[in-house]
Amino acid sequence: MSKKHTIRDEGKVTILELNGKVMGDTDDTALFNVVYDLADQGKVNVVIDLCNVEWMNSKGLGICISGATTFRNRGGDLKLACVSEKVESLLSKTRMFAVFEVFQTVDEAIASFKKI
Amino acid sequence: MPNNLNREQERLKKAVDELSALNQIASAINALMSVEEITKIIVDRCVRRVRATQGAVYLLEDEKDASDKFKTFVREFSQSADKIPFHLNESLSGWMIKNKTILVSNEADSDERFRGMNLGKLGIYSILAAPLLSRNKLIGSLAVFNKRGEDGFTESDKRFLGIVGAQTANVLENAKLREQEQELVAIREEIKVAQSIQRGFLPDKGVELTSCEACGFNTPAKEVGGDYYDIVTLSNERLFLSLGDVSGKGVPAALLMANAQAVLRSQLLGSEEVPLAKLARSLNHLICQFTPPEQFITASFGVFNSSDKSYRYINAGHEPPIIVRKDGTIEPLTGADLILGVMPDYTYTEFNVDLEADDFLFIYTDGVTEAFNEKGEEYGEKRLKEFLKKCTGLETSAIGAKMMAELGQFRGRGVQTDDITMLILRLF
Repeated sequence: MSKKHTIRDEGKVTILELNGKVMGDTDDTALFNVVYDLADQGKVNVVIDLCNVEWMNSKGLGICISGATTFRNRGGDLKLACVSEKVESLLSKTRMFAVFEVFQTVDEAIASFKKI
Repeated sequence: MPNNLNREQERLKKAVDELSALNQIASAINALMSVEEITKIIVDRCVRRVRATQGAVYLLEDEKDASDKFKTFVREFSQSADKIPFHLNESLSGWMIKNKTILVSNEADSDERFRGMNLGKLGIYSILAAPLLSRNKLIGSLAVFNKRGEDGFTESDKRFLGIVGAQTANVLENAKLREQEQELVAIREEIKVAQSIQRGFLPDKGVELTSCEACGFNTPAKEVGGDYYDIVTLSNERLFLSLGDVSGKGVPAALLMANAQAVLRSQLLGSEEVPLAKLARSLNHLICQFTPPEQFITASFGVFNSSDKSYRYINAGHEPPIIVRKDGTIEPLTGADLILGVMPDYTYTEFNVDLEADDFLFIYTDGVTEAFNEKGEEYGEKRLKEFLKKCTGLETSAIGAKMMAELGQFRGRGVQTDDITMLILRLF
């Protein structure tokens, strides 16, 4: 398990909070397992809280894409919340807004699941 | 008294026998033997010495998972042609991981530890196994099966196997490490070959047409990289330029890169007017189909036509290429779409920009802007733009060389963490 994340549930939504830089190093690779574990437990409505993530590179982005695919294949979704300016610039450059819904706050992201 | 003397003589004789058997094993094994050769000698001598019918050495392959016997892959070296049933070897290894001590079972079929295995039917009636402990770490076990005669394995057999286990574990561990090292050397050699193959995919020199010239640069962070660039002369007037960055590094990224480049090149063959949007769509579709979701490509490719000095391009989530005008004005190309390999049915758009004589176009991967110095500062777009402004009027080869020198200087003692790739087109 990665030391860089915490998991909490709010109703039917799971919040995965990441910390530091998400650059696909060994710790981040463990995030793949976190994603699969959540999906196996039936937790497929997931918000990634990026409030404490200052920077993310393409490998970090790959983890988010893989998470979104995993959760969507099981009837859920992955949404991003609270992105830093640098992460937003990466999402904008790669046109990832077409893939992820991104919210300013974690609460807004949680609320978006309830609308379904 | 004579009885005592006889017993003592008997004991001494056994001790000498034991020592001589141990000595035979020790002298038969030398430090340069393979794991297989060593285990063969150990198993052979032990089977003979304790008068068993079969024997095997089980080596744990992954010590990290040794706490979980179900994740432990066991490599078996069996002396007899009749293989020991897999579930027995698994169960023996599991028991060893837990107990790290000698196991004797002279009524194996009714032994609780092997319940449900039907050992009787498999023809196994007695088992003796000893742990292989190297520097207090369990590396496997040594087992012999089916003691000849009716008495089953004795205290003396138990003692003998225990000593052999304790004395040979280090030798086996060393041989295992040496084999792993040899495998690593072989892998490194293969990567070197892969590196030269990959180098061969990139154009080895720049291209010059009547009104423009183009040149590319690539410095991977590891032996093989995930960046690529390509320059293809389509006609006397048209050049196809492409540059891409595969997520991740190393061999997996290099494989995907080679594939993407092949797809792009194959679609150029025989096409009069390269349909860029269609090309992006089919490449995207292929990547979505054949790669795991976390792997993707950002790429920018386009066609420069010297007859009207236009550059038609696609940008799939890549760093915006930069036009540097004759007067040093910087104009990033803003047209862009989604990265390749995420949404299979995404529609890509072709954009167009007009260039003029003495302008140059700089296409690059994030290895340029994301170069870090020893203080952890990033080179960044601002520095890049300032640098490019000063490059007007230079040939593409000079711009590239200056850029590499500039990045090297900025990094100082910092390490290159990402592949650096650039493609430069200059008009005259």
